Amino acid sequence: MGKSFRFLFQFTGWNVLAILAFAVIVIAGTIATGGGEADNLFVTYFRTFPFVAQWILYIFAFALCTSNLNLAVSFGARRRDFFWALQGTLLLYTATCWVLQAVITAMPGLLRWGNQEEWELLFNLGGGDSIWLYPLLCLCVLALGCLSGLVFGRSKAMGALVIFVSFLVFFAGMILMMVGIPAGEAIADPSSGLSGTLIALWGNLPLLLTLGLLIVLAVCEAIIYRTVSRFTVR
Amino acid sequence: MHGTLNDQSLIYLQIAQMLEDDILRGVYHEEEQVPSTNELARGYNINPATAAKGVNLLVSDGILYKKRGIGMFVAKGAAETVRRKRRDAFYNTYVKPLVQEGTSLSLTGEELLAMVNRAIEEGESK
Amino acid sequence: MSTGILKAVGLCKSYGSTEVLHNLDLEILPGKIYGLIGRNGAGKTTLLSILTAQNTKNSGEVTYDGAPVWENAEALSHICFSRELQPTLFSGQNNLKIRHYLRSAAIYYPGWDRKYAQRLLAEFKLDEKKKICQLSKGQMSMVTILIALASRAPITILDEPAAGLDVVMRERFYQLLLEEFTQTGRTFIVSTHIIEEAASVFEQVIIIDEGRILENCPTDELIDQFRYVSGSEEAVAQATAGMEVLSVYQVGRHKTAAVRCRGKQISGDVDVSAMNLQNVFVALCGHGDA
Repeated sequence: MGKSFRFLFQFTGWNVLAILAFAVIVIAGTIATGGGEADNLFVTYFRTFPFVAQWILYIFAFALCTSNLNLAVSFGARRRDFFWALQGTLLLYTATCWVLQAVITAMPGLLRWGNQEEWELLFNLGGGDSIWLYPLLCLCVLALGCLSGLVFGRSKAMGALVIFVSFLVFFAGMILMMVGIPAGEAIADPSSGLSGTLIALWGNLPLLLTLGLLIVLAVCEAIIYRTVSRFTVR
Repeated sequence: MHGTLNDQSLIYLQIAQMLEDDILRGVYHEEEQVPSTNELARGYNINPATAAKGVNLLVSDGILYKKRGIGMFVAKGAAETVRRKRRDAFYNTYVKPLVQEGTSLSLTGEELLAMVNRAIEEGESK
Repeated sequence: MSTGILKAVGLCKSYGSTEVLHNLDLEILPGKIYGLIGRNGAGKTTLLSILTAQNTKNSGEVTYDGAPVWENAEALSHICFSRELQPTLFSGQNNLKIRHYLRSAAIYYPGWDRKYAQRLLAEFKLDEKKKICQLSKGQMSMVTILIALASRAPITILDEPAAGLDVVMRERFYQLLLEEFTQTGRTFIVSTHIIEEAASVFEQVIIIDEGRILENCPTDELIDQFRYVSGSEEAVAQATAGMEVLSVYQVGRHKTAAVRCRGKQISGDVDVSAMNLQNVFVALCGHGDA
C-alpha cells in the first residue's frame, strides 16, 4: 500500500499544494482588501470557500482513477493495495480541505471582521455546528469523483450518468447545508406551527444528511472496490 | 549475430568450428588461453549459453580444458586431435560429395583421380 | 531474490464468444532468455498479460513459485512486464513525462538500478522532462527497454521491444540485453515479430499460434529438426516419404519441400539445406502456404 500511495503522491502532492496555494491567495487577497468590507473576487471565494473547494476536489478525484490505475497495475501494483492507497489519498485531500475550511471559517471571528451575519453563509456551508458534515461531504464528493473517472474510462455513456448523479448529490448536499440547516432550526421551533413530521424532518436535518452521505459514500466505495479489483490493464 | 556466423548450420557448431580452425592454423597454441564464453557471446552477439555449448563440445573432445577461475585453454595435442577428428569426417564431408557431384556430371573414376592429382600438383608448386 | 518458476496450466481466455487462448500450458524456468514468437493476433500479449496478473483468465492456473500470481505481492515484485507505451491514454494525450515513468518504476521494482537507468537515458539520448506524447515511436520503444533493463526484476518480460527501432538500434538492444543477461543471469521473455535477427539471442523459443503453444524448446534443437529438401518432384517425394512435410513450393519441375525430419537422414538425389528460425516459423505458422 505504501508503494501505491507514494506512486499516487507524485501527482496528488502537487494537487494538495495547489489547494493550499489557492487558499493562501484567497485569504491574502481578502485581508489585503479590507477583510470582507470590499466586494471582490477574493471575498466571494472566501465566503464560498467550502463550496469551491469541493469542485476542485471532484476534478482531482476524477483524474485519480483513470490513467493512474492503469499505470500502477502495469507496474505490478496489487489492486487491493491501490484501493487502500486511494483511500489514503482521499483522506489526505479531505484533511487538507477540512483544516483550510476551519481556518477560513474561524478568521472573521478571530480578526473581528464586522458584520457576523455576513459570514453565516460561510459557516453553514461548512456544516454549521455539525463539524463532521463538511469532511463527510468532501469524502463523498471525492468518492463520486473517483467513481466518475473509473466509469467514464470504460463507458462514456455510463460515465456521464455517474457525473450527473454526482452533481445532484453535490448540489443537494450543499443546498441543504446552506439553506436547510438554518431553515430547519426555524421550522423546528414548535411555535412555527408546522406539522410534527415536518418538524422532525427538518429538525433532524444534520442527522438525515449524515446518514444520506454515509450511504452514498458506502455505495461508491463498494462499486470502486469491485471495479478496481477486477481491473485489467489496456 | 555478427559477421562470419551464418544460418546454414547451428551456431554452437560454427563457434566450435571456428575455434578448431584457429587451433589448426596455429592462431592458438597449446596451453594458450582462448576467448571466454562471455567474450565469444559478446563478440558475436549471441546467447552465452550457445557459446558455452560450442566450447563444451571442444572440452568433451579433449581439445580445450578449463582452468578454474581463469578460463579455457588449448589442451596438449589439441591440433593433432582436431586433425584426427576432421580426418574421420573428411570422407563424409568432402570425398563422398565430390564423388556424388562427379557422378552427376558423368565423370569417370579416372577423370576424377586425374583432377585430384592435378590439384595436388598445383598445391605443391605454390 | 531467488527466482521461482512461472507456470501456466490449462489456461483459457475468451473475449466474448471468441476463444483467444486454448488450454495453454507453459513453464518458464529461471535463467534463460526466451523468445516468444507468433503472428499478429496469435495471443502473445494476452498470454503475457495473464501471466503477469494484469489481465484476467477464464480458466486454468497461473502460478509463481507455486502460488497463484493474482494479487500476489511477492510474484508481482519479482516480475516486470514492460509493455508498449501509448501516446494517448483514456483521457486524451499521454502527458506523463519520462521522469514519472522512471520514478514509478523506482517505487514498484525493488531491484531498480537508478545508475543503470541514468546510463541508458544518456546512451539513448532521452530527455527525462519530455512528455510521452512528444516522443517518436523509436523513443517510446527505448523508454520501454530502459525500464525493463533497469528494473533488474528476476523475470523481465518485453512485449515487442524492437517495434519502433531502426536496425542499428535493434542491434544495440540485443547487445544490451545479452550484456545484462551475461552479468546477472536474469530470466527474460521477449516477444517479437522480428524473428531472424533475434534468433541467436534466444536460448529457448516459444511459438504460439492461434492461441496454442506449438513449440517450447531450445532454439538450436528446434531448428535442427527441419530441413529444406529440393530437387525433382519424384526425388523429393521419395526422400521425404514418411516425414512431416510442412510446406512445398514448386517452380516448374523443381520442387522444394520444408520437412520436419527430426534428425532422420535424408538420402537420394536431392539437395538438403538447413532452415533458420524464421523459415521454421513461417513453415509452422504459415499454414501450408509458402
